[in-house]
Amino acid sequence: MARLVSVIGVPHDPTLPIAARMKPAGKAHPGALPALDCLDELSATLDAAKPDVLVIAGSDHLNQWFFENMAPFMVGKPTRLQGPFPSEIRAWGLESCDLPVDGALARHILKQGFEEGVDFAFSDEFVADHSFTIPLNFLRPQHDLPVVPLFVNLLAPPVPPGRRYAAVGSAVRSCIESYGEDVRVALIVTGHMANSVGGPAMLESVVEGGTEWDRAMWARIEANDVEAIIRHSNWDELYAAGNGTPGFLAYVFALGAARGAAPSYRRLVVTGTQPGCAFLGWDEHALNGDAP
Amino acid sequence: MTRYALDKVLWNYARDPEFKAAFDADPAAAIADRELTGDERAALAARDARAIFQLGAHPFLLYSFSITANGGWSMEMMTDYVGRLKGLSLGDIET
Repeated sequence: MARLVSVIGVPHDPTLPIAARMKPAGKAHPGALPALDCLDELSATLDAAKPDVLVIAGSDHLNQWFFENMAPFMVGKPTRLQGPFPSEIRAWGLESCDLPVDGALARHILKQGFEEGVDFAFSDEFVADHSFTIPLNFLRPQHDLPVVPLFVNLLAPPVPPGRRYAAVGSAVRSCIESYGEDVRVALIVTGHMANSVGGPAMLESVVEGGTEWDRAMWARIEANDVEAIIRHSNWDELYAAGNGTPGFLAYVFALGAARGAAPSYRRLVVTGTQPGCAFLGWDEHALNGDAP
Repeated sequence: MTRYALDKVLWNYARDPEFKAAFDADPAAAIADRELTGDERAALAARDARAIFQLGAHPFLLYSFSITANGGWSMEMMTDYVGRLKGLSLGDIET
């Protein structure tokens, strides 16, 4: 049977790859460096987990899916995961990403999801936007593993309450663990802390020390108070903290997959260079409760 | 409820070069067949970010519309955009 060996939660801020490109020449903004260090550390953690396949849950940011047909949760099962959009490459100089999709695991998650109480939508053709390509390129630069993409709606209301993101995260874990192949699976989720891209508070969410919401939510994460995190993770409360803050629901998905286990890696970067960046990781032992 | 059509103009403009060209040439004609109110048509034609926001457009879509209308992102563009929204509060954006 398959085993969940790593869960990682990271941001997908497109300024981070720009900083990574400038870092060798010493030109990266100093406030971005701690975030790059976290990505390096989590990349090493992922490597140490020796995964055979990566399941990644990210958002489309209204890039290709719009209000004419919006799925809250979707399994992607094209033959390859390709992206990002050419406009994103032009805007931010992002690296491209072209990885095989593990179609068998994707189809198992989709069908077993129905048994686990999640009626996933599915798609056989799409472009993976920067929320997929940035974490994959940072965390697995070798580009040597197949992936299963899961889309979560973090941006287009109405979105489900946080308890559904936690439940779907937990269900995805059950789906992975009921997969009959002997493979080691890592789950990557990507979202953000307080964020107001396009809103009146856009500049106010980029603040040294983080926003009040960042600090309050991070305190709950440090206490591993999952019940409180879920209780405070609904659209109205998150949206009030910045129009992009519902992106935090991706982390709630990760907490659901971890089922109450405390993360083995936990960093918050609030240098004021970019919106608050949360980095969470659960290693194999944290997830499965067995001794290292 | 015409908010969907308002959002869709913003979405099309940032993603469809043909629609952008038509809108830039004659905004009123480009959106003539859209199901929009008079206020929405006027705000869009004027590229009035503050008015479009107040009509309930999705902020993310409004921002990408504004970036595209500017010919790309710049710090100056972004600070101008935030200035136009100064003092406004987030409202309902469900379609």
